[in-house]
Amino acid sequence: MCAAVCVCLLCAQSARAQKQPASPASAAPTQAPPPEPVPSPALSPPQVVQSVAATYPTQALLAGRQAWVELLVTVLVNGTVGEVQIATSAGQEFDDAAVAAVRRWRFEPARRAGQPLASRIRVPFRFALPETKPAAIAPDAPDALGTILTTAEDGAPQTGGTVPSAPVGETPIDVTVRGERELRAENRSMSDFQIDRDVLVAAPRQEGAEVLRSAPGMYIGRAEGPAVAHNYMLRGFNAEHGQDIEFRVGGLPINVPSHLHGQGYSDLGFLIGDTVHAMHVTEGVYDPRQGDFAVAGSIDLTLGVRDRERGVTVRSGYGSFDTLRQLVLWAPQGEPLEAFGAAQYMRTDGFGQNRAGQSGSGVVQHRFGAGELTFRGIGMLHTARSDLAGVVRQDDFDAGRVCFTCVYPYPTAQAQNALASRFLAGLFADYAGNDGANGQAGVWLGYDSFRVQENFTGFLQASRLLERVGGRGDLIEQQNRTLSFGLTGRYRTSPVRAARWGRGTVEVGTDGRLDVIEQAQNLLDATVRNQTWDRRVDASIRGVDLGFWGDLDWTFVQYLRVRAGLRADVLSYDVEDRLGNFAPLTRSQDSFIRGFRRSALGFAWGPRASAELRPSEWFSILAAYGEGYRSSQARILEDGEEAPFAKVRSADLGVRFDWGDLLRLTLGGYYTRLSDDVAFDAAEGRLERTGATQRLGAVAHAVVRLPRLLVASLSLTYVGATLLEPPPPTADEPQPPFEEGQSLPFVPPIVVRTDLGTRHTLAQDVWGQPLVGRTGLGFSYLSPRPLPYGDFADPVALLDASAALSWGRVELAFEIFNALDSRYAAIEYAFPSDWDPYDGVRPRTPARHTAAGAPLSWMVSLGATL
Amino acid sequence: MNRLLGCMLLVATSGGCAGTGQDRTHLSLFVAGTDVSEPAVAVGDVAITIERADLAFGPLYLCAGATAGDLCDTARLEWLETVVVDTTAPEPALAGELFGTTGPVQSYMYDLGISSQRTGTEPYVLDAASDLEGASFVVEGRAVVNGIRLPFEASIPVQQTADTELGVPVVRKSTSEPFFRHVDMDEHGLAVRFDSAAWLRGIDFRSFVATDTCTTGGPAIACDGSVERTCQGGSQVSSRDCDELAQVCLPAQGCAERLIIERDSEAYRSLRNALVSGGRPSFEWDYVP
Repeated sequence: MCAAVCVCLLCAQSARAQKQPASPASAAPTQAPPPEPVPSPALSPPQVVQSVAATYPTQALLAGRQAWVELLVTVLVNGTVGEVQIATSAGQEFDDAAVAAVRRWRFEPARRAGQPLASRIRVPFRFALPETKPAAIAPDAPDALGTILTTAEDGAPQTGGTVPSAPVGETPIDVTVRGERELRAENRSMSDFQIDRDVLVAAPRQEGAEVLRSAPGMYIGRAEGPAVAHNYMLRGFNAEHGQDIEFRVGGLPINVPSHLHGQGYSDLGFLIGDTVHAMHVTEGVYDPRQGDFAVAGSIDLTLGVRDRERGVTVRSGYGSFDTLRQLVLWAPQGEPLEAFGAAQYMRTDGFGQNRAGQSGSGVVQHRFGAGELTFRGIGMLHTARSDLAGVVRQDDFDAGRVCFTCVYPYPTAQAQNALASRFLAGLFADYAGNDGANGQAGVWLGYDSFRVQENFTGFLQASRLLERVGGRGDLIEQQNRTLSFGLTGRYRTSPVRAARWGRGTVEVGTDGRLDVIEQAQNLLDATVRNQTWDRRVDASIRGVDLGFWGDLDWTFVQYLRVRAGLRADVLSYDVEDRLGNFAPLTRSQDSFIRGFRRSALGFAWGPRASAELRPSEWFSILAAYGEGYRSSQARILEDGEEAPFAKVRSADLGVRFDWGDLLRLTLGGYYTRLSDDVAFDAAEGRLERTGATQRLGAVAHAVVRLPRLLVASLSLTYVGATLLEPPPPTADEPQPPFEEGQSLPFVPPIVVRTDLGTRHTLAQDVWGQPLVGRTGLGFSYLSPRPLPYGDFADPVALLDASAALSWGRVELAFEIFNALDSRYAAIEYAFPSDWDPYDGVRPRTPARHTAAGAPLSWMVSLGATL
Repeated sequence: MNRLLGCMLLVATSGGCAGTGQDRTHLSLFVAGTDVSEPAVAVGDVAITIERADLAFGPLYLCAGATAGDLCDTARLEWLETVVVDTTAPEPALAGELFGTTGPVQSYMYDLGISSQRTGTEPYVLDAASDLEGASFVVEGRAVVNGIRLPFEASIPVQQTADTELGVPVVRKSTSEPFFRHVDMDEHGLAVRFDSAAWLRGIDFRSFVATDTCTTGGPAIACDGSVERTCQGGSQVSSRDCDELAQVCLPAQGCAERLIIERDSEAYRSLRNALVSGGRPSFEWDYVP
């Protein structure tokens, strides 16, 4: 023991609520600025490479008791924890919590002359009642690269750094990290995934929204340029522009109901990657808070800037195709994680003809107030415009008539473009009572403006308004403007113990929105200054969606936790369809006044339930069942119709292995049935009904962290998606593209995603600053997707890689996207088209059409944080 | 186990074990005429012998619905080329390949070498019609009317008119015509057989053989069988027998090498209507040459 080195370890650790789902509160030690270590040329002290938060004893938390526990911990030569002695006891419940946590810590052992040796260190745990924190934001967790957020005694964040070595000395330094209470259960099934920032930034991303690719089973593509929302695929759903995924960013709802370009339209082009703090993915419908569009699931993105990245950051990037990116990020030191402002500008010539685009985004967020009630304000403004190349027929580029990334040489094709603008703002009040009760109330408003000119089918359309007018190019113009107001509120009780065998909380909540929508769809003749030659949609819609939910979160003994809830929504619509009742060319124009005004109201409800059996700290079994809905496109509703909803029923069963930060492994299967699905219709450039569908799938997801060295995330999903009840053939549609029992078009059965990031300190001191190297790798694979009419899309395999050098707070990065330079389609369709209008022959059988994905490209960026 | 492994491999490489409902397919298209060695009988028991009957055929669309035309924006199978069909040759000849998807077909539509498109007001003369100098159907033959041999020829372009739908093929299955086939992957070929005699049967060749004499106010040239009479003031000035010249006497025209069925004539309209809406081709499925 004489050889043992006694040191006092200051370990910083902030707890993450979601990592302690079995406990309503957690706490862990954190640090004040460490003292200068005592120099010891022959001895290097042990370093913490993985720390695990202690669970705050529930009863102590409820009773408002704080405590101080000090442990004497033996660090073995292999970095694991050996003997643990209680130097200062605070009672069994606190002692047990501290010991249980520290046994999961890992160290770089102490070394003498480079040789590892056992050491004994002193680890103080101070259990402090939590400061009031919002539910949505958890403080930073230590990432695999060894960076942590530290919080001083007064709770003010300090500039973080790497996990400090244990200073050699006898004087303990009292520091505290305040834990984060779990305000409400977010993890309800094996398909709940919390993707932390270290994973989100591991691989290079061309834009902020690409963080979504790290969600298991998720793939996003940019088929229509930077001014049109991505195409999303999740869990066997071809969610198109968001119809099957409920998106929230910073607590603000993103989906736009009854959008002309796609129900639930969700443009995440405004996301600035540097401000995305974490992503919570709820696949399935198991949380009563999930509302409209939560069919495949929900994705909540929380915004914030980590302590070590705070300051004023300026970054410029330049890359292939004359692409320029400029970022300014302002995150004042000493302010909460959520306080920042950011602006980004991007321009590019695009990777082929007619693909130039520009965009600008600004986001500001701030949290203010103290104590049990705090407030958060957030605002976003985004605009983007781009030219579009549209789609090309595969047989055309196979025959060399048009190149893969080109556009057809007609004005109607070259006039394709899009413009999008969006404003969102919200104010939220967060309550976190010291008795465990918590809640939130907020209001938000948004304005979304969208205009696109696209031609999918060439020269097939004929006017429905003008007799014997057609063939002027199927340049569809869509305009959609939505003004939205919304509110949200929820309250969760303090924990109650109804009996010895059970305790829990109850939550009630509501959210609602009112949307004022104006939309129009026309056909334009690009050869004569976009002369309008047909009108297809001219409508105004007023929609209201008001949801209520209740949620019981009950823990039976300590191994079983059950959540059960119910959600109900009332939706109403007032539709003024100014082209309604139009009977083309069959009635004289003066026999009636065109227009069809109608109203509809509907009620949707569904139970949500989940159970978690946790026989040990590292292993849990999760089962869940839930019913959700998706609202209808308002314009298709009849007068007085009880607004039909697409009902989704979803069930999950899986297991989760959780070895702290080292490995988190999820395995499971799911079944989902949707009563009424929709798919893209090229002739109208929008979504049309396809009938009931089902999905049977399996998910494997693993996150591995080797602290200070590597973070890796791997997900593999398989889904068998089947069309159950497609619309039968009709006189108008004698050859529907879908048949009963067929594989669901556009859905890739297999989706693989890997994110890998490594970090290594290349030199400790280069002109007074450490030189750190970082590499990243992202790989996405989609198996061939079935298409309508018997086609299959080609598989997609994309590899992105990056390398960066950081010197102090200056970073030079090189990123390469689609490193394999694979030719792939961002999206593929099958439908008839005629892109050779003057050959006298009109093809009528469906052909494969592709919108090209970006080829190999690179970007160099230089950034500095002051 | 092998099936499971095979399925997994299929899943990984081709997208899944379940089908896509429809399958891409293609089958050979053959075109044929009808044996015309025996004279056909036209209106008035007029025997007609066909010596040449070339039809510009294509493009062809086979539709899933019972009604073609505007309701066939998406076709099950299509052949986008054109070919000149010798409708006097009964042996099917390969025209090309039909491409499309498996499934039922309940109607058809096609053009006769001349198409109309929404992109233009003028018709498009495709290759086969160009080979026939802008015509859809060229026919030559002879009719025997009351013992008088009447050589004839016609050259008929068939295209959309202002009264028809723009951009839709001109010949479509009639509602009363039975037509159904479930096309599957095993389908070998399709033979389309035309009967040109059926199109000629509606022509009243008797109107081209007259037994007129010179009358006051009558035409300057009158035909009396094969005899051409030149009239003036109701009196015959001269006459000649066209038969001796190996010609025929055509009313108001006199001796001529042959009858050329002119546009706007009753015979022309009869023949055009027959091409569009009468004398339907027969479809022989699963044809193997």
